[in-house]
Amino acid sequence: MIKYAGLAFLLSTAFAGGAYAQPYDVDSQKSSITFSGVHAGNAFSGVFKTWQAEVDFDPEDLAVSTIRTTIQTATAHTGNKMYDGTLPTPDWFDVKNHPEAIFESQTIAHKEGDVYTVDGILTIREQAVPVSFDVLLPADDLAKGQIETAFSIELDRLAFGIGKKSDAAAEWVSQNIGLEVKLHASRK
Amino acid sequence: MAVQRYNAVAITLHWVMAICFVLMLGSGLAMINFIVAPSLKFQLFQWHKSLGVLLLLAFFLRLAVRLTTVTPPLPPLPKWERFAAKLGHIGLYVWMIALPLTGWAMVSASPYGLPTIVFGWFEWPHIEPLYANESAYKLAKLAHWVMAYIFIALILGHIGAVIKHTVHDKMPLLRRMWFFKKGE
Repeated sequence: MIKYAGLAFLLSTAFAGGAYAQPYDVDSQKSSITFSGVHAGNAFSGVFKTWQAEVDFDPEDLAVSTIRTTIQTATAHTGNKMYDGTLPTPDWFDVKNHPEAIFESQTIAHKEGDVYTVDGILTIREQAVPVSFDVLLPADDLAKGQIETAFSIELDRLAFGIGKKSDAAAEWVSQNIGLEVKLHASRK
Repeated sequence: MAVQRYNAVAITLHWVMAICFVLMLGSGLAMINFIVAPSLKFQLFQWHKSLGVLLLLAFFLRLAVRLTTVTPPLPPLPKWERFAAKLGHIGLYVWMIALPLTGWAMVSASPYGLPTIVFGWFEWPHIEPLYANESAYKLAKLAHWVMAYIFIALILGHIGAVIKHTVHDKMPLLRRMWFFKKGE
């Protein structure tokens, strides 16, 4: 029995080692997800106050590296009463039916130098849309178990059906919405 | 002796609301006919909604003042003109409440779902059951638009009658609606 238990232990640690690359703890104080666009000729921006990210990144083992982010759509905040009153409504984030937006990486590939390309699926309002972005992750930082990076993603809000009834022609709200992500994390 | 003019509150409400309605009709016509720059158009919409809420509230104050205070008697007029004056005044009151109400219904049913923040001051609620109701929106929009034009006709009739009686019939009608003292 003991022999088998030992074997089981060895196997489980082996698989655990394979399933997890290098998990990171995200510093929510220093990290942020900002969105921005243009409404009626005026630029606007806001933040998602609550979101969680699971970052598991090993430059030596990209195949098992993953990023998964869950954003609470009801926490979108611009500071403008008009926008903050509209964003949760059914035609925009529809927070009652879709309280979460989720990003899940599919592949993380080495691009060049310290740059990695992340391909994944962003799901907002149940609409899953492939997105791709480059992230700069300096080898020095990674060696110290630190991630300190920022990157942007351009999204087509209509691909997610955001504001489709109100403004499908993007007469008022720009069709392209920028996401600016600041990520600070340290290895667990 | 019967009162010669409306009371000060009624006179103030009459003129302040008159100015506001001119601004409302002007901004309304401008929004749908002339202004294309989205930034200005959006701000004008919000401003129009804000003033509309205040006019909706002012209407009830005005109605209360009208119903609880003494109004000066009309000068001697032919019977049909008295009838027309009465009808015109009732019409103006009906329109003064119907325009803000149809506007409120329109905003509530609008697919934009934009909240009404009265001059950035407080949020005025939507009529909840109408939320994002497209057919209600179209109906309210049509009613608001048609009624605005009829309101212009009513106002022009009102002003026209005052001018006619003042100039043609030499009746000091404006005294009824201004802060003149007795014997002035």
